Amino acid sequence: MKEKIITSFKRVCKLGWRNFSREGGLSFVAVFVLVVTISLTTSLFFLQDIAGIVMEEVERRADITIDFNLAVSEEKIFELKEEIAKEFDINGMEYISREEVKDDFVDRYGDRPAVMESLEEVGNPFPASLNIRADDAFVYTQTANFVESNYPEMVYNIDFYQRKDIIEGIFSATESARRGGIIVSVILGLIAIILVYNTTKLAIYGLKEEIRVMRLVGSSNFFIQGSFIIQGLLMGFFAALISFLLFLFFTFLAPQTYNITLGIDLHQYFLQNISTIVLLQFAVGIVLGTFSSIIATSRYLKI
Amino acid sequence: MIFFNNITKVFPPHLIKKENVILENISFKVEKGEFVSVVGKSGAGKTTLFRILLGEEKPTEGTVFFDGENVHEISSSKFCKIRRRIGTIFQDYKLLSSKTVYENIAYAMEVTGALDEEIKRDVPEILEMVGLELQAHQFPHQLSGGEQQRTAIARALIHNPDVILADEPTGDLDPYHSRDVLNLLLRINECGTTVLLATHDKDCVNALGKRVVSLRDGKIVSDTKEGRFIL
Repeated sequence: MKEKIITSFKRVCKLGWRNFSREGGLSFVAVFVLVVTISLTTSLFFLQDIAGIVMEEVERRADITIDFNLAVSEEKIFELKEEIAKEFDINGMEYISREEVKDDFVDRYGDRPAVMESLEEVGNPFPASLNIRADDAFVYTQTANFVESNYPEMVYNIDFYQRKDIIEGIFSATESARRGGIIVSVILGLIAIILVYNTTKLAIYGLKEEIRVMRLVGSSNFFIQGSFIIQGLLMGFFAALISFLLFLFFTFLAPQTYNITLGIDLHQYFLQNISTIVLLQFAVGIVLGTFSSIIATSRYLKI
Repeated sequence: MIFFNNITKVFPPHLIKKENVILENISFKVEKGEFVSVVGKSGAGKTTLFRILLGEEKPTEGTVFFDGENVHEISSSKFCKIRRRIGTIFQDYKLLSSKTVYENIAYAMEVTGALDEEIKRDVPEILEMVGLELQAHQFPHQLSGGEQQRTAIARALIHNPDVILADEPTGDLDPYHSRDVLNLLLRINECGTTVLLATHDKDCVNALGKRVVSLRDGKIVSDTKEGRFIL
């Protein structure tokens, strides 16, 4: 009995391979559609991750700066810094002293004698400042209001109020992009599944008469469906292999994207996530190929 | 062994505009080892009768029994076992186009679970018997009508079925090859295999000298032992 099952399984695999290798045109079309689908899924995986990194970077670059009156001592600023850190959910704070600002100014304009002379005359006109970064635009509003209402005598200027709309806009846009990305992924995923199912259905419809003959010479459903499942599985496997090589090749040839992806090296990213990508590509290819075959053949097995 | 019990087949009006009665109250038995020719003009219902026995069509009324079992009430898995006991030679050959002559014949054995050694032994033998050794690795579209017919015959015989259903097996053959096919069917019948032959070839039927069931307009008009083609 066990030997019979093994023999049947071997024959089903052999038939599946023969169907796949002999129906060149059909296999080519099905593999092509699967390659498109797998590439689409992999691109979505890339996009989700890269968009996440890009959005984090955009949000990170949104910050507020509190400039202090010249008379305010460093100790008071440090006390305020500690209080803000306790009160609010802050990602990072950086104190920039008056001397640092001045040094930075000298570094930039040291080659302009007129500017340097003026600076010499007025001494150090630059205020000390506190640069604050948070994950949420609302935290900026709260922090700015807190400082302004409790320590008005310390504050020279808070640049949040000038950039409030832009900062809130950035946070709202990145949030919309995240939601939009998920919706687009789901829609594209559904389109891909429908595309693959219909291609397989069309392909197997052409084999309707063959399936009928197989039934009439006494084939069991297992024997017929099994060979088509193996065929679908092989299509998925080869499509995944082609997609993998395509991505390897294109990410290798894509150092030009380095700037637009905010310093993310796509080839390096691909190699770092290679196991997840291989798993994703082969899972999508094999699952789609196999299930499309099962659904499409089921219809013609009722003869 | 086979019992057609009051079979009526009517094709519904939506397919052919008006209702079409293909078979009407057909009843006859075929005993084990018999050779029965079912004769009639084209459209008399011979092929439909065979399709009903193979489960491809359901009768509008009546039942078909194969070895005491109503073929339209058994499960799909049991039905494929019955089909393995029937070797069918189709009017239009019905060869698997993506398989070679050898593979078409071997397929009928593979589905029955025959051992690889048996397949390797039996397929070349039957290919030699039907004169297709040289065409073994050709695909159906590379064969003539006669060669395709012989492939279909070889496939029907390869697994030693209990019954052979031959639907117009000489339709595309010249008289020389037709005689060969009939002689082959007679030899198989002499070995104990039941043969049901559907044909409108008068000379063939008269040469056989076996039982003849004659159909006209979907009804049996005669059923005679050692009969002749009377239509």
